[in-house]
Amino acid sequence: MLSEARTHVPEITGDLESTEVDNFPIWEVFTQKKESDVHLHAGSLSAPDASFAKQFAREHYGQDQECANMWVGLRESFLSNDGCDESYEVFVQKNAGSRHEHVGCVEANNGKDARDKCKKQFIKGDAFYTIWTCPLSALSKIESDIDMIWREATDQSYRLARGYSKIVRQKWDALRATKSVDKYQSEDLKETF
Amino acid sequence: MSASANVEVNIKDCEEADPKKLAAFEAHVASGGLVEPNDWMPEAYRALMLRMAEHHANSEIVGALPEGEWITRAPSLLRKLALTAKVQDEVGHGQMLYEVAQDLGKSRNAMLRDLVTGVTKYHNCFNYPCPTWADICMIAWLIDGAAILNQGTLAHGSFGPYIRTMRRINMEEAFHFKHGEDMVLTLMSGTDSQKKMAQNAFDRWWGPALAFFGPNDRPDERERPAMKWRMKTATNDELRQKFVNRFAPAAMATGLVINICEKDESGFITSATPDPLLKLNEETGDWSFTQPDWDEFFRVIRGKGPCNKDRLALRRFSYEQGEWVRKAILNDSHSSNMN
Amino acid sequence: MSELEKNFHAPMMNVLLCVADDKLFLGHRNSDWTGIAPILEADIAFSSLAQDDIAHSSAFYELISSVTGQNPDQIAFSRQINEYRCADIVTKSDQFNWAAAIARQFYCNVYDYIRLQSLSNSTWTPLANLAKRICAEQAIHVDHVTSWIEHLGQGTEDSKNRIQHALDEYAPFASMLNESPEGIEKLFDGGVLINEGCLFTAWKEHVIQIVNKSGLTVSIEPCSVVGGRNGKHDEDFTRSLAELQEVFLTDPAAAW
Repeated sequence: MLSEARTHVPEITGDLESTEVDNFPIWEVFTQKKESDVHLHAGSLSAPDASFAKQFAREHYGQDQECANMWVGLRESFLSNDGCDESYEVFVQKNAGSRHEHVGCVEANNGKDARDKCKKQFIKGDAFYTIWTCPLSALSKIESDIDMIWREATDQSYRLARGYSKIVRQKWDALRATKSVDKYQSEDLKETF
Repeated sequence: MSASANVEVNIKDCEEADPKKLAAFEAHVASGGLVEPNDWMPEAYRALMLRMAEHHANSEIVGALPEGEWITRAPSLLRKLALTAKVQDEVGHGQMLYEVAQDLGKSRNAMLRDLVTGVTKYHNCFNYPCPTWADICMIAWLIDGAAILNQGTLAHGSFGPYIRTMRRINMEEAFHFKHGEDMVLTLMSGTDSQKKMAQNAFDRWWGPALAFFGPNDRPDERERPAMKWRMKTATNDELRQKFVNRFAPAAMATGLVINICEKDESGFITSATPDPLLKLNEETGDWSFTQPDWDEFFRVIRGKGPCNKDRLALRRFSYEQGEWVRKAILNDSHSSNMN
Repeated sequence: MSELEKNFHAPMMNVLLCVADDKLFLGHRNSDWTGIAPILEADIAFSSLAQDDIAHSSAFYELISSVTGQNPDQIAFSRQINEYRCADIVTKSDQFNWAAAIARQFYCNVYDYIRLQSLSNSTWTPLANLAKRICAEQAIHVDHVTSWIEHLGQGTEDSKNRIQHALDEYAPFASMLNESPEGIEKLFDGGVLINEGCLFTAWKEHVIQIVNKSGLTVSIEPCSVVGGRNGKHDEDFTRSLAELQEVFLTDPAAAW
């Protein structure tokens, strides 16, 4: 039987009665797989505020694989040329098609200044596609040793392809072995008759 | 979990692009160049990419529904976990694809509203019923298997955000597929009753899996915008042949029989006979096979499928029931600091 | 101690079943929201927590299995109704109402956290270790659901009314989380479990604190009836169990 939630579903056609709220603002999420790795752009999400943005980021982008650290900020913050005198994390997309990568931190007056400093300090003469900068004050950082991201208490291999490689191989082997035995036995019977 | 490279957009309706810019753009894309959201692009490209991403996103969140029906009935602790994770992934894929589409100019709310009122479409295979546990096993093996083949080629496309999303999605599809393979092998190594359930489910899903890649290629497929602009990098028939080459021998190795089936209006099999065309051409390495029932495919796509109404009803109900929640948390964020 | 004395087996297995069954059925019920929750990102997050609960229950069934030798899937799937030890709040129907799902989640998650903290002090090492590990993940659940209570309580007039109504409606069922598992006194007397004082009080205080901070109220009375912990279950549980067992029971000996 279907669960209750999926059983008593009214069939309503025609225009929607609801008048929807504004779309939520967009946030960008960066993840660091291990302490020694750089933060890489994981993707974006829609959330009404920072607390939901962090929660959503952790459960969506933090559960694909081990995640030591996660940064979340409003897209606006990464793109803005404005701002004030403070530290800015800077991120570079090397080519079209690549993910933005964290390259370092600069002291700057605003977003544009941070972008210029990033070029001088980290990119120098190399080619690049786009630069994102985010003021530290606008970036939420989740450290997994304080605030667990990837679940460590329970075996997560049930949600990974590698969790099934061995067992699938074993089952194929067993199936083929059985078929060979069946085929062998049926050949045997042929001879008898 | 599913792909859609088969949406069309009326190119003539799009603004005429500056011919010089268009030529440069087409040369860039044809030589393998990639496009990011802030780059110049012809309106037709933007519109087609948006429709493709939107259709794909819709398919993911509708696809979550038939499989979701079996989450609470999964017959072991591992299967409960894995199936929940798979359906969760599909919601995640939908979310990521809606973000890609939103960046091309249509808001998420607008896309969800169009989906639940039947204005925009989703992948056809989710209009079929899942009457048994074995259907879940076959969907994960065949449909996710098909999706991986398709999405693998989409990951070589031209639009940056979409191809980055394809790569991420395919990592998870690998888990879906492997788990599906595990479930199918378990059934086919099991009791007679399990094998029978598996065969019946296979009969229901082999056709939809073949049809997954879309209708047969048009003669000018490669000149059409989707391929010309490298949104799609393999034709439907190419992918379908690859799928059969891989899955026909694998299915037969498990003991499954590949049948041609007739179905009634509810999607249930009324007759099944072994596919007489199924044969390996030793020279080409290709398997010949009977095409899926294209009449049935088009009937279902036009809304006359067994589950079209149910899928939309649940999607719409979920959307409307959730409105107060979205209003509440947006209101709360407006009345306090954003940070 | 790493070995549990034989005379503590039965009461300890009973206590473990209370924990495992609570988590299995809460996870089971909440996993049903996957794909149909109000916001895509919230759907993903809620599903994560449902998976955690099922994974946690699985770890507890494994612990039981290490003592009884019975296969964890068999323990989870093959009992009769009156052998399940969950409090019925975990399967209380939410009727597609997100406020109800959050209220149910809230009461259960906080209780699980307090209970796991207590079990972390067991003198039976395998249990203490497991409870400590799971507690670290449980903290995520409490944070998650606290955030929802706050947002809904402080959102719109409508959301405040809905979450208040759900909290009120579920309060009597929440009380039954505290129904005492049979034989637990023996474990306290034997020093296997530490009786730090009333779990009920600790849980109630934590619940009231969060609820009041969000501009809501709650009224919880101590549990006074015999219910799920002693195998007496209601219709919603019976329905959930039927879903859980539907495919499994077609052939309990088969591999799935």
